[in-house]
Amino acid sequence: MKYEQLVVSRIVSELMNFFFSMGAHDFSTHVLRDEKGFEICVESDYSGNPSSKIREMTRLLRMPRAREMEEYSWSLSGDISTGQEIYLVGIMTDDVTVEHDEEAGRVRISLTRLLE
Amino acid sequence: MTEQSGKLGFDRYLVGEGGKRLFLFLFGGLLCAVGLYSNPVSESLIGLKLILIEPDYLISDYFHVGGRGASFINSGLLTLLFTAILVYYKIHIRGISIAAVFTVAGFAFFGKNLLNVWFILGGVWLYAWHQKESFLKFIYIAFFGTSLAPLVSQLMFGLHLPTPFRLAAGVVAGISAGFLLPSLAASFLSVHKGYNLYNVGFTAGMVGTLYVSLFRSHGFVPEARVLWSTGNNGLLLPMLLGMFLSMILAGFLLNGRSFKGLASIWAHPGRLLADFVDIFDFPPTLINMGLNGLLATSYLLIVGGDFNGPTLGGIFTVVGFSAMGKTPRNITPIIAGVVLGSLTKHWNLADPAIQLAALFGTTLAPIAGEFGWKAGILAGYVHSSVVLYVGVLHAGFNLYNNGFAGGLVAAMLVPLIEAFRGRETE
Repeated sequence: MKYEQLVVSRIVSELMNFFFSMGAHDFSTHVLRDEKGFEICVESDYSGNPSSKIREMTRLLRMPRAREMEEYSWSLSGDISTGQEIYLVGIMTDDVTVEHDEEAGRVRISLTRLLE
Repeated sequence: MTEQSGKLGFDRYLVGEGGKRLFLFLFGGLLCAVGLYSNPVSESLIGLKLILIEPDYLISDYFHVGGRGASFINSGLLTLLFTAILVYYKIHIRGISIAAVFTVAGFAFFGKNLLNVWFILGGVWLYAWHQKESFLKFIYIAFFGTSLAPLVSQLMFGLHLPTPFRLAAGVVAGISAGFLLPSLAASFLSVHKGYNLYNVGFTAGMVGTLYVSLFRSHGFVPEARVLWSTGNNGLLLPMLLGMFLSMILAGFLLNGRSFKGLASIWAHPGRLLADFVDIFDFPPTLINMGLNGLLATSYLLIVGGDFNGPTLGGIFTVVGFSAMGKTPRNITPIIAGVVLGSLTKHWNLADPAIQLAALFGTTLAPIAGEFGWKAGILAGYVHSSVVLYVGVLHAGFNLYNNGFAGGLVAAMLVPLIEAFRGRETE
């Protein structure tokens, strides 16, 4: 895809919006880039008890990549966050790991986006 | 500490890939069967020829141009061919696939035909080749982009020029329009932020406006027209009712004899890209499609509308997009806004353009889904005015005139609503 860097920045932006909407005060991100693709790591806290939202977020992040939908939809991500846009992050990434520490109130997400 | 990793497999669905493909093929087959039942084959073939050579900018009802049989066969064959393209590229059938195929099927009753759509697809394919990308990545832009197909027909059969020039002009216009669409579609999404479900309609409206401006400045001004047939209710009403009730029943049975998941679909705002098949599975989506089909059909019946090519297109588009964004909860306020408009404006709900505005105006359903029913009514009310006056910009060459108008309405309304009311979900 032509706009790989922009897509990755939108993915980060989308997740940041999502966690801010859940009351995050400490959001950090780390992006690694090599010839195969991008590794995006995000760690955030949250406020309240959004367990069901985290479960739904995890489910949507685990949606398989849909290359045929990327050109049509990538520019929608990272704009406004109502929670549903997490689906776009899911279909634009190849692999995901979500670690949820309920006691500490923290979530760590690792995403992989491979190039062609 | 809990940890989940890896992507979900397609085996999680209640209905597999084969079942969803079968559904689309059955839909196309049914349309062909209705066509064969409606008129003798010889008559339909003559009608089909008339459809292919008709300059078919808005509003050109193919029932009026070539008859019911030919119209259904045109729609059925295009449905089968476009589904076959998805299968050829081994694309998983999702909500967007169903929306795209149903939209093609619907508009094949008033503007898309077996001749004019391929040049748009060719243009998108050429763009993909130029970008050294697979056509697969642009396939939905290509499918929805066939809204500009009337450009091809108008230049090929509506100009008073020698045949080779007309044909060449049509080919060049179609391919160039298709070539422009992919790079524009993504950027126009950010204008309305996904609150206009027919995004390619908005993009195509802009492209159509550009082309028509060029045509007009060279002395070519197409005349507005309305080819609109009546008297088809006897055939179409039972067919539509049967089709939508079957969808509900099939969805119910496939869903383990339950309506599980339907409430989740209805709770979704529907903003692009709300792929209900992917997110909630096919069976509850099928129920949602059937219910929205019944709702749209009932509305048309209540207002004394005509069941013909264009309104059938409207109903099929509502049903298709019920796999990607539309629910009874978010389309009802939009339709109510159009109805409210009939009380204060100078038109009647049974006027052809208003029948279409109510059906296709549901492109703005995400506004109701996200900001509530009052915002939805406002969007429908404003849309029913805007859609009547923007068609002149592209002279009806963009079949998704409501998508064009809807993009403008969403681009204006959404920032205002956000500024003054905030989101309901917050």
